[in-house]
Amino acid sequence: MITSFRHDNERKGKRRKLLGALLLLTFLIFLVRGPLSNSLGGLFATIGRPFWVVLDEIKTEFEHIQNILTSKDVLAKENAQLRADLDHVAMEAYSRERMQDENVELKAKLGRDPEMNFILARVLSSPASSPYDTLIVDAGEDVGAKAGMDVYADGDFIIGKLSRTWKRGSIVTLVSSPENELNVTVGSSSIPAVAHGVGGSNLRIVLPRGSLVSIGDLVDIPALGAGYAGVVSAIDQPEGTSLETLYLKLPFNMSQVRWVYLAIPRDDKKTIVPHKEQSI
Amino acid sequence: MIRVSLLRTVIDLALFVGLFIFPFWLFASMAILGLVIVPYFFEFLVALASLELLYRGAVVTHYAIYLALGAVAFFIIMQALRIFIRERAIRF
Repeated sequence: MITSFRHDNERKGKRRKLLGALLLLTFLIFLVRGPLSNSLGGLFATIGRPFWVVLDEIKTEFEHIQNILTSKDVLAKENAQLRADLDHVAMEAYSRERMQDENVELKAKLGRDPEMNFILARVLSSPASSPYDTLIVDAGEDVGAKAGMDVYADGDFIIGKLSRTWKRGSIVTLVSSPENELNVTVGSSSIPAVAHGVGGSNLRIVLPRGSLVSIGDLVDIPALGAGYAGVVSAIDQPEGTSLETLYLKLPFNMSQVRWVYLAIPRDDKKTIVPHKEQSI
Repeated sequence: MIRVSLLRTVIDLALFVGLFIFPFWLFASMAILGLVIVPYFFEFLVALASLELLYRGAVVTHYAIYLALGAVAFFIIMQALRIFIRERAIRF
């Protein structure tokens, strides 16, 4: 009898707790969907900032230790290979830089200014630590970051857009995230096309079969300045169809990107605070 | 009692740090699993809500909070089934 009474009490206690959990959940749903959600998100990002910075330092330190443990032979071979690559890249860079300057000068003479201003931002969290195709960066509203700004990586590659900003941080949604679309031009004859995000820093373009595109081609963004969406990494031409699918990828590992550039819209150039003044 | 308090403290600390340093899906799975096992531990609910708040507007997190709702609902259905089997079905 006493045992049954105790069991009834336990059951009632559990039911009460479960009811409490449901009430709390309802409250949390309202909180997450309500007007306070952005401020609370910003608060979490501020709390998370030191954790992300420390984690990044630890990762860098681990890479350093890994390098120390690598044998001398392997390092010497890698060094030789890197020197050869560097020479090759440096030669190409000279001509590229010269052509780029010439291009800018010509456009300026014709009354079009292709120069863009950027806000430098440090990546705090990248995939897989953050959700797929999402970055958290340290530039927020305090340095002029606004939702909708284009985000570039080194080499003029557009990688995404700012989807949400807080006071001292922002979320970048990568162009490669599913359902995202990007207008591009492909190949030597600048065929206009739409690149669809397929996740994991990859994009896909469908073109008529026989288009003049080959593996390794840069895919451009139709804009005044230089801007690229990626490099053609594979071409799929199924038998019996009139279309071909191009798969694009970025020539760098997105999870290793440390710095990104937020493109300032032309109308906002005068109002933006330079990011140099901000301590990183 | 002390053991439960200690366990909860450890879980709370792990959830707090994990929110920022664990991979997104690992953290979400841990919190959902915790909710399915013990929905009375309100910290799992708060953890999922925090995840939604932090990454809201990003790609896949429009419904992290609804996963919490699903997990609690799943727990209630499992409990109800267990009681039904013990108190009704076994008697026949």
